[in-house]
Amino acid sequence: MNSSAIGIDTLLAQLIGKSRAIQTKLDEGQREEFVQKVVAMPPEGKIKMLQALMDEVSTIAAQDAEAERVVNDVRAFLAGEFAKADKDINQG
Amino acid sequence: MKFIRHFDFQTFAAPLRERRGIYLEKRVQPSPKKPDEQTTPDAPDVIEDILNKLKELIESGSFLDKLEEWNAYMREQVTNTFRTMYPDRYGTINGPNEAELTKRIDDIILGIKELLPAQIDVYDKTNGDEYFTRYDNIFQEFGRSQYTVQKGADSLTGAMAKKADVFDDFSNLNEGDALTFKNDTNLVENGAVDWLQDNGYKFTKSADGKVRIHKDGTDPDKDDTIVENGLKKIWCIHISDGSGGTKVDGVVTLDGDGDMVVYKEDARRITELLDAPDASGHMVEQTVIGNADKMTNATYKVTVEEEAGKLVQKVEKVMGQTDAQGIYDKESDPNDPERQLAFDILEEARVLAATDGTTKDDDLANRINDVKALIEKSFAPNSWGESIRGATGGKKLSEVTGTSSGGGGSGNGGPKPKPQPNSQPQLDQSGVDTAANRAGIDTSKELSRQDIESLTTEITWEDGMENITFGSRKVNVLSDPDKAKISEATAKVAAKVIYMVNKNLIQVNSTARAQLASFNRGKRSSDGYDQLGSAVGDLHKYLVRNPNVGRTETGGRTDTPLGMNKSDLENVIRAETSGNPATPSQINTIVRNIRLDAVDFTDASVTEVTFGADNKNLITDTALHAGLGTDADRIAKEAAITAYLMKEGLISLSGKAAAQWQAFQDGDTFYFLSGAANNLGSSFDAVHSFYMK
Repeated sequence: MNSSAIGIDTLLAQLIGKSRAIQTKLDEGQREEFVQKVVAMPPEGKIKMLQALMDEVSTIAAQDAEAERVVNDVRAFLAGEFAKADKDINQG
Repeated sequence: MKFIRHFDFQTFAAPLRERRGIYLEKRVQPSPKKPDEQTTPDAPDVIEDILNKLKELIESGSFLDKLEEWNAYMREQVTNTFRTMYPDRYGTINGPNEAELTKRIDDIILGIKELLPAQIDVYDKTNGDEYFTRYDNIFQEFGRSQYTVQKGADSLTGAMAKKADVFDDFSNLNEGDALTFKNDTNLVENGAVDWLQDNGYKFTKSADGKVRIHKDGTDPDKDDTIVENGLKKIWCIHISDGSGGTKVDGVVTLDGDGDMVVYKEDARRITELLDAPDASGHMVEQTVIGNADKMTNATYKVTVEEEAGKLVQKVEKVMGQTDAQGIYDKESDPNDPERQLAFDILEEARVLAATDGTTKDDDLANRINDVKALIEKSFAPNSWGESIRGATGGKKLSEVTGTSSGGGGSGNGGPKPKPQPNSQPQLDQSGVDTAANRAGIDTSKELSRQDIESLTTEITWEDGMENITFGSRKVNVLSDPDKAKISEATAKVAAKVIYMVNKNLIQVNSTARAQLASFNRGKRSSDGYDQLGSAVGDLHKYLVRNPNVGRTETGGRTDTPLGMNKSDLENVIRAETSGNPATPSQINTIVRNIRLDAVDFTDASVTEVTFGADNKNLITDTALHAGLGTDADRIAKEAAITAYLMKEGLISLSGKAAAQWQAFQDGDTFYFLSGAANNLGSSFDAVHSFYMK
């Protein structure tokens, strides 16, 4: 377990990288500035930011998972329907 | 708008043969197709086109409004595909098989419709705005410019300091004001202190490197300088260079002679300062957390405050290190509210990562788990281990108060098995290892639930284990056979497990540690009950479902509305705090050991406690109850109890907590207490957070 590189600042940076709000609203330079500002915040600010970021990232994850599930289901269903039609038509 | 960043639609849009290897390896793996389910060569392209369209519509954020568009697109695409793939059968429009084709298409559209959820809650622009605003608000509250000055009593925000009118003589200096640092080697020789000079102060550097700050025109060798200008509470200039990680670059503090001294960035110098002999009696107390080596990676708060007529200097590490091990040191206060908050949030992060990590965030999940494990490992003796140890050697609340043993005219309770507080189990590592050998278990590794259960069957019950209690309520189920719904055998097995964990005789995995830590902190709902074995799981579940077990029993009339006599309350509080100012966790424990169902919430002395400028009443405020969620009733009632204890002066509060409570009493709910209400316990904090919104 490598402990030296792990910390709240690292977690914050990772979650900022996952924030869709930040990704869509800020350009690269602004995102870097955002990270710097967060890192420079006092602990209570970091905690609040961490919590807010986790809220967003967890929301994104849940929504992505839902969307992914929908698309996967549709893909499997369509593949099955085409296969079934092929079987019906060619063998029937 | 970017959508489903992790979804990686390019992967899905890639040709099936290219995609299969990547997709099947890393993502949700569809069930293997049977040979007769293989599509024709043309079908995958159509499928991907359709999926692209589906993705596009979902991405638009209003998919359900576009169902008709989706159905029309589907119908056209699939119909055309069938006509192309089977020209002999379906190639002729309105041909003999048109009805068959139509039915086939209808079935497909209907089938897909059934696959779609009632609502696809996509992350749209509105969500982004909402979150971004939230981030911005946090910056507004906590953010600073690149080079900043942090000042203020108790290291709270500058706004708070201004409110407290502590810094009259520095009225031109505001939180967030920029300082210019040409380099960080000498604060005196660069522009960092310009602002002080601009405000009429002069710096005189002495031979030993100290720089004495004094009003221009005054004698720097006398004490009638800054200290006598009413500025002795300015104890720190805290500088962030914005390079990543807040740190102490320079400190303006008082030396042993009471002079204000600027020190350059040198953590060891701070330590030396603290270790310096007390030349004048000004510095008589020190609080040092951590060590000099870690100071450069940490945020340190240096304070000089006047207490009881003496100047007291304190150096305190606050959270925010870049090093996981340094988030909290072993020496840090296990009851520190920030530390507990960090635990809670990291626990949430772990859960988040664990959920997210099933498909895409394994790396983050592992890292967060590492952090969590490190913290738990670092603090085992002081955090959840402490809780268990305290429970092991501690007393049941009723033993302290004497209220549950049938005494005091309460009429409650009959004869109960008396714990034997002086008995100590003799089980040690050797004994555990021997038992583990018999069970075929390697105790050098983290034990699984099954391992724990197997090992426990080989552990002999010993006198003293009956004293082991569980959770923040310190419930000893063995001594409460009339209430416990689990068997004595189960309770004994659980006690053995807890004993071994407490004594660090076995290692359990991080999930189990997290579960127990959460439990011991008083969280009554958590997953993974069985991580420490089914006996602990049964006990945990029982306690979760029976929130009053372990709370102080009362009966008959009492002289407080809390269902306890005041003297008993005082005993309870003293047992928890040893007469010291109560920490937030102690407040939580005390309040949670008071039976809610025994409290008279119609009593004016409880209900008259109101909060904030609007005089909100916790018990009757329906908006509050609606806003606190499913556990609102308990939270509101516990907050009311907390307030009662404070109002009656039963709980001794720290300076910060007392200030908060006073501010609340003054109706200063929404500003002064921002971000610090957790000093009064979690329920109070929850209520405050609600009103802050």
